[in-house]
Parts: sequence; structure tokens; C-alpha cells
Amino acid sequence: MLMPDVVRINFEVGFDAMGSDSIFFNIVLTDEASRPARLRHVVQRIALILMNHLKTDENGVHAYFSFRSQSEAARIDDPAWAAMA
Amino acid sequence: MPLANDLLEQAYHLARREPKRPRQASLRRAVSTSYYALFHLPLSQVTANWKQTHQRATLARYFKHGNMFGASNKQKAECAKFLNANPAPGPDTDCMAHLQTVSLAFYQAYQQREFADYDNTKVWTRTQALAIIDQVDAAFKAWPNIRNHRFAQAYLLAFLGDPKGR
Repeated sequence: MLMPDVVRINFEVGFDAMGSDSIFFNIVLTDEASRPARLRHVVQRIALILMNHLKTDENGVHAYFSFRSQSEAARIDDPAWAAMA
Repeated sequence: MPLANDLLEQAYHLARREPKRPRQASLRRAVSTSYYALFHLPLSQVTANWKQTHQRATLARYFKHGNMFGASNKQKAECAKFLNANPAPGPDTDCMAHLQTVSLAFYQAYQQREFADYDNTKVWTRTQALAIIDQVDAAFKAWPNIRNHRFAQAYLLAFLGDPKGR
């Protein structure tokens, strides 16, 4: 369902601005999926797939989504977005 | 909604400037501005329900960010439950699909605005910023289709928070 737009998904758990249990997704998209004409359609679709699949609402967990292109992720040394060894 | 629309336009302007190396300040302000665009969009609608036109700007001051976030969180969950049950096509289903776009955008933009304004440990990229602004833009496009539907009006009323103060 997430292919071919998603390269990888990392996540961190913590608390959001309201102090609620939360999961923060860092999602690397292909450069094609990150193009302005496609990005708007890709973002909501992926967020809804993950929220529905993980049943975040039913489990009382907030879910937040950040997206980078594959080129951006390669350019910035950021462990939160890196491929797992 | 000139203010809300102007803020959204400004958010895109900030996110797209500096084509090669966008400044962190531009991207952060873009995300923050897009949140405020979405904050003002429904407020202009809900205050339009108030008959005393000279009091509308004052009325808007009573709406709290946290209450609007809570209402959006609840609304997006209700939309998902409704739509995941494969409802028959019709005005209510159309409304819930649009309302999902609006409430999910508010829910996401609220938290991302917190990061953009206060968390200097995070590096922003243009795609990160545009992903949020695009969600806000989608909410702007969805809202006119549903603003008079009873589900949308109930969402607006929920912005006032829990009547029992819980």
C-alpha cells in the first residue's frame, strides 16, 4: 500500500505539545513522490494508511508525520531519518 | 476569508523562496504561518454564525488553540470510523471525507507549528514544510464544500471545548 512512494519509515515515541502519548513518524519518500504535483496526494494517503493500520485513535495514541525526499535525507546527516543498519 | 487566504499564500511564498538553500527561518515561519492560516479559516465561518456583526472579531478571541486541536483530534477519529465502515455514497459521506481532510490537517499542523516555533533541535527541509502546507491547502479547498453541512457546523461548535469543562 505504501509502495512505490515510500523509501523507509522511522519513528520515535514521546509526548506531543499537549503532553499526550505520541508516535512521530519520519517518512522518506522517493523524489518522484516528493514532487510538488504529487506530494499533496501522497501525504494524506500515507498518514491515513498508517493511522488506520496501527489503530492509533482506538489506542489513544497521537500520530504525527514528517516527510523528506530521498535526496534531502541523503544530504542531511540525521540519525532520526537514516536507514537502519 | 482574506486573512486566512493571505496567510496561506504567505506560507507558500516562504517555503518556496531561496530555491537552492532554503533558510531554516523561512521554512519554520512557513510552517507556522500555514497553521495560523488554518486557525483563521474556520473562525471566520463560526463567527459568521453570530448575528451581531460588530462583535464577530471579539467573538473569535474566545476560541482556544488547545480546544480546536482537541475538537480536530476527535473529529478525525470520527471521520475515520465513519469512512472505514464503507458507507453508502451520499452527502454525509462526502462531508465526512472533506471533514477528514480539514480535521487531520489542523491536527497535524498544530503539532508541527510547535516544532517549528520552539524546537531548535530539528532541521527542516522544503519537502517537510510543503507537506504540511499542502495539507492546509487541501483543507482550504475542502472546506467550502461542507461549511453549511450539519457535521461541519457541529465541528465548529466543538471548537468551544467541552461544555462541562472536562
